[in-house]
Amino acid sequence: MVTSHLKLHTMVRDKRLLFGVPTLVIFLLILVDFCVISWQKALTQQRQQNLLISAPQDPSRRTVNWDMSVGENLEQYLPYLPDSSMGRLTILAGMSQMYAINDQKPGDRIIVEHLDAALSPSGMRAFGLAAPNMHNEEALLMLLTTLSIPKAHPNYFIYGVCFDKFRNVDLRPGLQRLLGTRPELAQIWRDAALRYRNRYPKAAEKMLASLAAVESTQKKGEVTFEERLRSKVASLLPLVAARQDLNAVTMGQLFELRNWMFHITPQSKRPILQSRYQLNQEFLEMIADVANENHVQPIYYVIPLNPLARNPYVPSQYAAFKVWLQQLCQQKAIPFANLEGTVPSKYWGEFMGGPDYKHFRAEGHAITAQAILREFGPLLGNGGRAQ
Amino acid sequence: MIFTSYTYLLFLSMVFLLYWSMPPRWRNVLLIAASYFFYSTWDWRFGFLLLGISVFNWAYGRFLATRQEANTPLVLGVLVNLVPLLYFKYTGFFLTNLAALVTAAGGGWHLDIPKIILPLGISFFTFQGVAYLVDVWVGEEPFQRLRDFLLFKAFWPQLIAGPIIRPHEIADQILATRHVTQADLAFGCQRILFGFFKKVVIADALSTYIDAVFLRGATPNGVDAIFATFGFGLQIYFDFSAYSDIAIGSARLFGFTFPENFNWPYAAPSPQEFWTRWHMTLSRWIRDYVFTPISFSTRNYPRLALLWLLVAMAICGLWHGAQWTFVAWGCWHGSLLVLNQTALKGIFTLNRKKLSKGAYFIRYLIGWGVTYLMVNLAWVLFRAQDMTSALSMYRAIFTLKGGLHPAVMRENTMVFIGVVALALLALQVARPWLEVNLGQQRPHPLHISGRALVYTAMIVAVIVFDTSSKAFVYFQF
Repeated sequence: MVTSHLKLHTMVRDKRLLFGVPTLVIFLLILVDFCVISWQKALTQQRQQNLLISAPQDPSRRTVNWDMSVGENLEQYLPYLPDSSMGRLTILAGMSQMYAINDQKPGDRIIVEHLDAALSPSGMRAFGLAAPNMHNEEALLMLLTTLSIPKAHPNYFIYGVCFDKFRNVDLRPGLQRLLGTRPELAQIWRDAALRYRNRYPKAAEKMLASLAAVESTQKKGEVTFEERLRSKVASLLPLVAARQDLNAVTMGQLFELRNWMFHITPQSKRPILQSRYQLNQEFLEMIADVANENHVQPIYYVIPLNPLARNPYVPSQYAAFKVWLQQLCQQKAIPFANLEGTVPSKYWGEFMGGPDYKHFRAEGHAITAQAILREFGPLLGNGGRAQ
Repeated sequence: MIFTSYTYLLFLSMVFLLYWSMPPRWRNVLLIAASYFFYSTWDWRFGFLLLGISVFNWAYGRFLATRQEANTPLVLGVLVNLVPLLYFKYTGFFLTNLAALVTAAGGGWHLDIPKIILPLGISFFTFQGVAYLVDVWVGEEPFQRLRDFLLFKAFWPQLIAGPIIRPHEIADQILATRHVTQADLAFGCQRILFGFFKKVVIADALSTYIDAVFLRGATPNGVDAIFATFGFGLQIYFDFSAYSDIAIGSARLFGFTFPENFNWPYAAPSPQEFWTRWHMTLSRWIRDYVFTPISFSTRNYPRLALLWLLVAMAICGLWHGAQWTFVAWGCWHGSLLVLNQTALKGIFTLNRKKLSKGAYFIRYLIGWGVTYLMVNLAWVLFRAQDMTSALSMYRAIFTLKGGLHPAVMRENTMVFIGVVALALLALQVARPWLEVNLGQQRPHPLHISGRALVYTAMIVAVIVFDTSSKAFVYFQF
């Protein structure tokens, strides 16, 4: 059948089109959309269980003092960063331990909320920048983000260092978006990479590669249009709206498949990947240098671990990591504490049918905040008192 | 505007609706306007460069049609086409090497290499322009109307990364009143969907893992290097063939039939056949506009043909990028083609009539295995950021550095690469059956439901895995 513009309407009425593959595909997509609508709640819960998003927050809260999008949409939470020209500011950065509360109850508070409450009376505000599985390149991005906003220039950058995050690389899409849409951030990111190219060649190359990847796709103006278009489509199609949830669930299933194939459990000993480890080491050193250079005091601590749970670390590698970190802090005069055994085993929850080795209940958050204040309180101007 | 963005789908739908609702005489004008809009979304300034080159080629082509006896006008026209490419793409390369040479000779020459932004698609539209002038010079009819030529040059599906279309393949289609059948629409939509799936679900997912291994300064072990090498072979195939799929599919929606660019290249049983299946429009261009003219000019010295083959492939490599790694990649392939015709002829030559079924199958497997291995090893040069990185990758591969322990890749990445490779192999094996059973004019109702299910699953996968659109690998050329 030959069709010109005059016959387009006849094509639309053609029964091969009406009863063919296109109609079936549209019907199936509508069906998928209905399924997504009915799964929406379960999908969100699953992401919460996997700590990819934070638990629902108390709507009555008056202050927002952490990035509740946990790295997915930091841009939205940047306006909540306290004004550092009005007082001192501490940034607390780290992985999901910072915001995940096992067996959460209404009114429970996370580490940074405890810190903020304790430090506020002395004129210091605390703000949390955390993301699931956050690694050191992302932590550097968090630091540079605050430095790129004049009013959010922090005085202290406390970073909860987690050994197994040294196996992660690459910026997550939310942070890539942030880097691509904030020219001032991209500029200081590039400057830092070029300035430290000789000292930290791997990290610098990675930073430039991350920036190049972002810039190759996110041209000025188009991002906003593409983003707006995606939001618009998402508002019309539940499947598009739920794509991140579906992606997370699919990836989760694939990881479970991998675990099944390779007999991997949360307790399986997993040797660190050396190249990734070295890259993260350079990033951690660079964070300290960038902070010092910008008159921000970096503070590192080894995150608490459940003393009763078996963790996946190879003991010799973990021991070497702690020694290296301590030496690094001594060498660069970075205040350091090992909070590994700070939280007693009764304050931890469960994960995948066994004791959770990295996420605790509300009490664990309070204890960790107390430990931070005890170790670094005098430095922060609190004298080690918790509220 | 990247092909796999929502913006492109909106753009395509709008142009499609406008196109088919306007009188035929305005359609080419709409396509030209849409193409320039598409190109300007990257950098509007280069739209003028494209327009300038197009107007020159159109006018010069008409002039050249009357000067077919003399070589000089053709050479001049080709040079004018090459100047922007040489300036934008090779200035830095030339100056860097010149400075290195001067320094090596004992001179001290500090040089500030200018940062020149490469106009998107310049390598492709330059080759297209050269092909047009040469074809007109040898007797092809030039475009009479500027409007038609502007469309030939700028039509967006082929503008940025090919297929490199030659005038005779599209001239009639531009001049005629085009029609689409329902089969064309189905074909176009299917190819676009295949392209989205290949790019978003496979190539982009692979790139994340492979980039980490090829990162300058990364210290991959042998296992990482092997998987990354074969993984990159898959990534670039799925990436570039995805682009071609979307280009061919988009063009078909407007009644254009573009030449194919890929034909199961990894099933090739010899390097020579690989180049008839991989980036087919480029290899054809290199053959017709570089290799054949040079060989013809030295036809009295047939042994030189092998040398020209090497030179043509080195130029092909340099076309891909202004780096020695690309030249080395071209030379690698040139050497393979030379070996294909000389020392390894016995391995790569297959003759169905002279061989029994079993012997043919075994010879095919050997030829295929050697070709696949050699083509993939060459990708290291193509992907590595410099020769030092490429050499360290080869060292890691051939010494199996670190034994079986990876330093960069996780086991799930290796499984993913393995699964993609096996799936591609299975598709290659099942291809004859698929072509017979799925290409029927009147498909069985079960086939219709099966297709609908497969397409829906592909659309859902594209939506779910499309966290952000990444640029196509071939955009850098």
